[in-house]
Amino acid sequence: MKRTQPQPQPQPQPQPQTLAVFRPATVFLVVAMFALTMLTGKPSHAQERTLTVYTYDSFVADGGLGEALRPLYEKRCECSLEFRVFEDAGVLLNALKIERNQSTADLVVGLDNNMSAEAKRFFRPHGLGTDYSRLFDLPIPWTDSFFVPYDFGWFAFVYNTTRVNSPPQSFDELLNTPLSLIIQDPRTSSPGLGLLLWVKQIYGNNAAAAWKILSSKVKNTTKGWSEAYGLFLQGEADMVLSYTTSPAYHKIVENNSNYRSALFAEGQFVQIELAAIAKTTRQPDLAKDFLRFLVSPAAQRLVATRNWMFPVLGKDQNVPPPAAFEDIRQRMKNIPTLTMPSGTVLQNRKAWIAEWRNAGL
Amino acid sequence: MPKWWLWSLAAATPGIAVLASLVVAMLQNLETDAGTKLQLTRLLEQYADPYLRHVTLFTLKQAILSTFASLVVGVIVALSLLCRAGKTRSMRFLQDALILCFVLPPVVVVFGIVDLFGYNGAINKITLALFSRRLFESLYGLGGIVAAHVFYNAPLVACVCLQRLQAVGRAPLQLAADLHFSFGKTLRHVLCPCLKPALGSLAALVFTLCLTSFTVVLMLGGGPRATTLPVAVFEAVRLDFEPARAAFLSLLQVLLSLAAFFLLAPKAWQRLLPAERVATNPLPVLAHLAGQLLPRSLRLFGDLATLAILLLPVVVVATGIVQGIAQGVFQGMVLGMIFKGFTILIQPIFLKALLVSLALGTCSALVCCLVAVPLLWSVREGMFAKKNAVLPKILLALATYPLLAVPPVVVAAALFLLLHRSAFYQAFPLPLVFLCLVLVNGMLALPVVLRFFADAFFALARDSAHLWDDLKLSPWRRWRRIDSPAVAKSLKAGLACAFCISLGDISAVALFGRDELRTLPYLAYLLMGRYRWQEASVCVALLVLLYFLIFRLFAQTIQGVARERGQSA
Repeated sequence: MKRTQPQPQPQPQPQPQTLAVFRPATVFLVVAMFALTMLTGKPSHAQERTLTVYTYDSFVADGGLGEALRPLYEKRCECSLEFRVFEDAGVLLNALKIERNQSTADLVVGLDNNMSAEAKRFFRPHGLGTDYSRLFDLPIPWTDSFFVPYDFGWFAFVYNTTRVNSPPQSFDELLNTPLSLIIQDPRTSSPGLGLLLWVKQIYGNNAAAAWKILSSKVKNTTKGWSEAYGLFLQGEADMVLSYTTSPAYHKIVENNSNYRSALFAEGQFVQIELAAIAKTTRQPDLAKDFLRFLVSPAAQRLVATRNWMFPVLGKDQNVPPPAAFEDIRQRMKNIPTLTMPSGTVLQNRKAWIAEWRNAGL
Repeated sequence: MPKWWLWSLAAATPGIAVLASLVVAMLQNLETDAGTKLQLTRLLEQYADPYLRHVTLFTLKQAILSTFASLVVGVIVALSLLCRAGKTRSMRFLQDALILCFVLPPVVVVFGIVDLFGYNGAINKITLALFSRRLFESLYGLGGIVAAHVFYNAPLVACVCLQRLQAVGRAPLQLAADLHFSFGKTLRHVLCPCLKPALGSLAALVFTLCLTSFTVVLMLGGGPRATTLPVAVFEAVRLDFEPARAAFLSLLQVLLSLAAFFLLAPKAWQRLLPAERVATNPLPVLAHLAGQLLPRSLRLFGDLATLAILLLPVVVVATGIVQGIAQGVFQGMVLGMIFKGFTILIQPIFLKALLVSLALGTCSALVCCLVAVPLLWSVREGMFAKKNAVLPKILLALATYPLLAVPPVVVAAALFLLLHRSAFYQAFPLPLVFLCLVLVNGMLALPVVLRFFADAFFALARDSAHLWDDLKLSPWRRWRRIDSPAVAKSLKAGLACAFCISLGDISAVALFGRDELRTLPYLAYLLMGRYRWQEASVCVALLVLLYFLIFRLFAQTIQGVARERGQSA
């Protein structure tokens, strides 16, 4: 049987429809190309020197210390300050570990005394000399050739008096209260790590048992401090892991004295926040200049009401903290200050984190 | 006859490459940690860790609970929709809205859940005002995770069940109504037999989706107690940076989800092949009968669930607008400043994320379609060249199912572990990461896109395969003249769908965590983590609007294809 020839019948539909298929595709392609060029093209103020600072988010939040320091310092150095922001200090440290020599950091601001041993390998000596350490007014002595302290404070559980009538007076009492808590993950956040060490310091070998009780009260474990404190302010839990100085913020900025920090008879764990020059920096002198600026009275005067921590320079350096801060220092007079050598932290961190993780199941 | 198997091998390459990299990364890292050769005993030793056991059990627990809840809610929603099917137009609207809910990014669903049911969510605010107490406590933990999974999967279940019910016809329902069956009896004798086949494969699919779910658990899980395997992989890479642990967890996840999938749906791959056309019955007739058979309380529950699902994106948009204005009012106190809350929309961080999102979505969609088309084509060739050929089916299965069962975060982790020490990565991190993101996210959409294409491709073949053979066209000409016009509609719908799906997923983006390559959903997640809730809300609201826009642009094609082929998984 003879088949009919395939007729050259022009089909009206195929052509336009085929085109129609590719029209959105072409549009998308153009958009994609445009986006890619935007991505690869760097902003063109190459002439100006830029100091890249890795830090955590509340440092550069609205009204934070970073935003206050930036104009001051940019005027002084005739350069621009660029912040790269991480959720919290632990995330920052992990980023340094992953990036290694690829890091673009000139400076890192916001690691603390508990992480310093672990983080040391990413930094170079600050070279400020030992004179600086004599100026500092810190609860524990600080001499380190890599890290420069810029503020300090004690970790504490913060509560709202309209919700919590009788706050726990000691860690033991905290374990026996029905209060709900929000804490931070010790792997990602410096207060979280602080709590881990705090519990270890007080309970030693019984820390796992203490964590078991504590975890049953924990409503949420966040990655960073900001999220935890935000959830607390929204009323998600009774208490939040923060600092003894946090209530001062509500008092001074919001004129609200409902927030208090609970002080524990066993002692409060101290945190010293640190800045250091990254090994990868190409402008060590500029970075060193920033460190000098950070511990100058001009910058230190901003610490209390911007970062809500104690400045490292004392009264004799003409950096008087606000009255609310003086109150906390007075209250802390009868409370021991707890701390732990960062070498010990480095050795045991993994095991203690596993302890916390397994107790929290 | 073109060498069809070469084509399909080429098309399956990305899938196979992804799998290969996964295997290599796991072997490499498991080895380096042990210092010696891979040993089974060592692996088992690692498993003695109570945390690992807990994570595995929690993964299974939440997946089982979520699957069960999704199926129950989905079926009830389908039944209550059936009762409302009297009005065809509103019915269509409802069905389309359900499809949209299924492609929304998980980040949006989480925001919606928190906005609706959170401690300070809309419902709690209403009950607080009316009865001065809250209805819901904290969402963080198992409850929130299951709730989000239900919102995500119930629309899918409802859509498929509705089509099943439509296909069953009026006779059984009529009979049940005439015999005055109670609901229990109707369930046992009419609904169960009708829905059973669909529910089996739906359960497999939903279970796999919940097992591999990442974003929801990352955002709503609280601490070690509520962590699943995909999140644990992410944490092992991003938080602890322990490659060996990450590799071991990945292995566990892969085994678990593959086992689950093949246990639950042994013949799952067959569903990819053309389904018989089913006669659909006019809905209004069924609606009347269903209305008689369904108890009122169940209908009420179904209606409420439908309402909640449909309200979710609306609430997200509304919250974004309200939050934006509230911030403006709070800061500005002047009417002119009312839009200050929306300034995030003109900040470079946001604009960059928008551009990255568009670029990533587009490239992923293109890659996805570039893989899907030759793959299906060659499978079809293979099948018509030789009846009942097994190889094409195996290739098809190989290219899709591992991708469905292995969560993108695991694939991304494998790629990251393979690449991050290489010199090339050190030199050109951005293009390489972008390529990885495109690959991972593009493959993510592949199973869904294949579903879209498969019918169009096979229908054409079924009708006129022998005619083309006689025409002796070159493959390219045949694609231009015959295939492309026929599948144009599906292709468009597939592109749009792939765009939505690959843009919405944040797991690969989060795992690589480059500041320069942030997508909109990831930016929203970061802002939420920094507790910049208002800006995050505005961001998510815009994302939803973007999805609405895409959906509107491609609405007709997506709906058309979905309706024609009986939209299913």
